[in-house]
Amino acid sequence: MDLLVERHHAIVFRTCLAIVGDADLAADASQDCLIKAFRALGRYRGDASFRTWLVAIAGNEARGHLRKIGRRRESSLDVTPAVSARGHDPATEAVLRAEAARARRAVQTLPPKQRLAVTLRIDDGLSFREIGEIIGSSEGAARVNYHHGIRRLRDLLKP
Amino acid sequence: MVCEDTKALLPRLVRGELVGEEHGRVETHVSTCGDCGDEVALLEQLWATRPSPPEGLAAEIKEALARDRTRPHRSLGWRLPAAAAAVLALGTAVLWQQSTQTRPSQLAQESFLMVWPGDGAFVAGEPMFADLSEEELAILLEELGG
Repeated sequence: MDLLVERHHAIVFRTCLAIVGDADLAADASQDCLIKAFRALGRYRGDASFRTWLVAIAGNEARGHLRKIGRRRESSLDVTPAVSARGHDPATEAVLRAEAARARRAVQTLPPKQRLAVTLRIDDGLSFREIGEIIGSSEGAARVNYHHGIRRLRDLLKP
Repeated sequence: MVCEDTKALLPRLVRGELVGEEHGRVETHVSTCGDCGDEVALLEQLWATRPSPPEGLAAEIKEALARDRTRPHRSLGWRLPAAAAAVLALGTAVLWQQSTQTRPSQLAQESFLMVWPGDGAFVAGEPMFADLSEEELAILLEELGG
């Protein structure tokens, strides 16, 4: 059980964060998600990967937390991004960090399905089939959500 | 390689998951296509700012799971019969208590009987007949007997 937590808590956290937009709330939702998942382990049928099943629970839990506190997600992301910009001079590095943080903030402005598709595809490498199962749509629709999200981000971040 | 095929592989490229010939073909296309190059730059920014869980979250979740596992009652399956049994026991106790409970009038009578002193009885620590003369005592006994 500990191994499963170690292996999956990051993707659960990122999924929750993509939905609620607040790190503390995402951490709470992650904990509740994993507790509920382990309680319901007997009902896991194996027709989706364990990771997909878990992330779907995370999505539901995060949306439930949003409903509980009665607010829409926050537009600001209060997680310090771990920007890897080594190998540049300090000034360039600062610019790269700022641009990267701006890109990450822009993700939070996407519509929910596009945001989840982009997050799960890039941050955690899920397939479009897995993403479709999580956002409740077909593989094709997940692909479209991802590409629309990327296109919108590129528009938002145009210099 | 066309842009559509390349873009589908870009997330795997920035995640470092492409190898061999596939990696080579994508790299070649990106180096000659401005649009795909721009997309790679965006994906690299996103990948670089991938949020990490707060330090200690995994440990907190493990502790919460351990606490949850040691909780004796989790499902409604056993709770409903237990609740029914508790209600039944409580109801039985109340009925039994009511059936054996002394009513106020009875209590008053019993209490009167109990405090009615016999010879040598004490009330509030003092012999209640101590101050009575022989004559007063005779009158009192006569009244009680009547």
